[in-house]
Amino acid sequence: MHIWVKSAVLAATMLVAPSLPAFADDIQLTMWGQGDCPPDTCMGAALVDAFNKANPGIKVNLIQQPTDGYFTNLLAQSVIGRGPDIASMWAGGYMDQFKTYMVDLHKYIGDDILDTVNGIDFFSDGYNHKNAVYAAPNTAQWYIGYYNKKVFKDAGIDKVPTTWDELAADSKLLKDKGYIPIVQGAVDGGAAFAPWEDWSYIATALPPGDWGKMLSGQMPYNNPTLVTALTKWNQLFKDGYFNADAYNSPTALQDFIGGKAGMYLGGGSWQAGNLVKAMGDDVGIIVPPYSDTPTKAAVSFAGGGYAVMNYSKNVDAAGKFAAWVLSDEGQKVIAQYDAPTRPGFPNNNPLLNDMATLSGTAGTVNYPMFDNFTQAPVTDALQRNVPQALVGQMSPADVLASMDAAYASLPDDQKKPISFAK
Amino acid sequence: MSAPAVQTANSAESAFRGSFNARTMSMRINGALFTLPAIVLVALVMVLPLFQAAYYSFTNWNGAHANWTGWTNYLNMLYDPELRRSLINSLCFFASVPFGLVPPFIVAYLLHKNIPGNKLFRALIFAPTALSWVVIGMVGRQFFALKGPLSAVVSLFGIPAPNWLADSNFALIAVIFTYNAAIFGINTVIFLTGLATVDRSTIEAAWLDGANELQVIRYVILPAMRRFVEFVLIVTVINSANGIFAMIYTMTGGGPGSATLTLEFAVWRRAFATGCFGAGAAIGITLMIVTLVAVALIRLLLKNRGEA
Repeated sequence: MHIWVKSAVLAATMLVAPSLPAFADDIQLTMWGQGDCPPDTCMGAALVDAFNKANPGIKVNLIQQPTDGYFTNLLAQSVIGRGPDIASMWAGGYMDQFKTYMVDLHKYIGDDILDTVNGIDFFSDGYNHKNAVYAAPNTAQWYIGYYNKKVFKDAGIDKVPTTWDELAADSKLLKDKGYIPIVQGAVDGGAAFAPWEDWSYIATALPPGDWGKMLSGQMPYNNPTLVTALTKWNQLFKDGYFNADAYNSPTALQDFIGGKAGMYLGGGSWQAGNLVKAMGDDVGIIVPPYSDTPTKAAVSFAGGGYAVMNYSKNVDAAGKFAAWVLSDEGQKVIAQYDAPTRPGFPNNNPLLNDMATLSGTAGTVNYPMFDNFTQAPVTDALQRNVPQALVGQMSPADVLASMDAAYASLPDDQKKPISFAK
Repeated sequence: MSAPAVQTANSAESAFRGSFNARTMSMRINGALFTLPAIVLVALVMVLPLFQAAYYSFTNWNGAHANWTGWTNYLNMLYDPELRRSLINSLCFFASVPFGLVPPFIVAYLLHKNIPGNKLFRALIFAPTALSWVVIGMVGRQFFALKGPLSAVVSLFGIPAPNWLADSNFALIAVIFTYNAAIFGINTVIFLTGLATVDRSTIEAAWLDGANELQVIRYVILPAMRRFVEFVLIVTVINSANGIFAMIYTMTGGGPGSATLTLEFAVWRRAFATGCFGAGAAIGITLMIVTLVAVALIRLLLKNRGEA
């Protein structure tokens, strides 16, 4: 045989080889998770381990991706069909951009289960799980603040603040005692702090109905109520009640856990496990008291979910994983780490139970997570500019105007009315 | 010479020419065949995506669907304050290039003079070049942190240190400084290589003619190193335009606001953070044009200087 024929055969083999199926026994699936996943507190890893044991022949490989830029990376990979088989998904606006890449899970999960899942509507087309369901929610989540009971006691504070004025007064007491009253920073590894939690509570100055109007462009973000709220937030920073590097401190959470700070108001329920582990009974929950009257708000939403991507070569195996997450076995695993979405699976984290109690208390106004509904350019403006309002780099009016400008820049097909009705 | 002899010589010559032409043609074909894989590869991974990007820059591509929108994306750029800011920031990076050239040249010159510890210094200066831009960004972030070493030094003088990377007055300067510090090592090494190529006898002749050190550098060494200077200049400019996304992402994320947003970063933000891939492609094409113009100007400038 001529040498060039041999070379051609060799080259062709090398080119084709990667596209040949692997002759392995297991179906290999890739799953993307978000952010750090320490081995002893990683719910995603525990779910994957339990699923792999319960389903011989299918092997899910969990790959943690940075939270910062997660959805942009997922979108980039999805556009070229190279994303994971299963992806961690957030509901609302985050999910909308992936609808063309996700599988309807009705094929794998029965209505008897879906009807019992808290938050399933937020992962469904038209916020109704009788339509297409795009992800299996894994937890119920809250945006919430935390406070250090020991530090509060040391500063002579016997109850958590519930208004702007009380927050300022307690912050002064904490500062006088040498503590950082409120700590904030880039806790998730990003270059600046993510304002989602603070913003949602700041926006509770308006009723949920007005949220829908702002999100739909019927009411400007740049309105007197929000300007006032952001101004008061900035005043706390000006008065020295936040850490000076609140914009981008890489050690904010460590400072709180280490007892240097009294409050960490930009948190969420996903941090409850780690905080209880690190601080024991010293940590308690506090609703960020961004309100002129005693706050009655609670911001909660379906937490993350697991979506099956339609470009997966093993869609059915991936669908099996999504169904397993909502099964009794899956819910028991979740209950060891967080609040499951189906009833009857209690967990033993006191902070999570406190959050559930808060949401269920008569008189509590439950809001969804604001950023789950903002359109991508508005989310971008919110993320970049709201932190600047805190540290005084931008005026509140300019920050809010930038969000209005981002909404105005949307193509017409994205300017749809948004409501939170289930 | 008789006529038959002339004819014989002519036919031998034409036979030789024929054989030579055939060999030349054969070599050309072989050459083309050998380079074909490289050409195909370059076309597939560079030329084709470039044309695709150019096409998509005239559409409203959202990752799934693309409709032709003509010059809309380019016209929108003119009215977008964020993109104007990113263009200015990119030009600031270009303007900082002398800081990425002069100190490395001075250090390379000193090292070339065989100062004591020469080899150790070379290794120390070159070592950071092996770091990725992400690591460089993380080091820069720590250096400029409010509790970092720079703030500590500033505080020694009783001046309250700002939060450098969170302050729009300082963030861009901090990022530009980090970039120029990061390229210091590689540029020094290139200049060292260039200095080694300069004819020693020419320098000695200049000394004998009474030239001082600055005159030797200006009239002998720099002209002899023109190619190296040009190379470093162009690579530094291209890197500052297209190669530091990871560093900015790690240090500031393009913020605060748009304070450290460059055109390169804006491509990513527009395409992936807001889902406007068509607009992102338009910024990318603009970035390419800006970079090519900058490189062309540098080449023109250096060519004129060389001829002068």
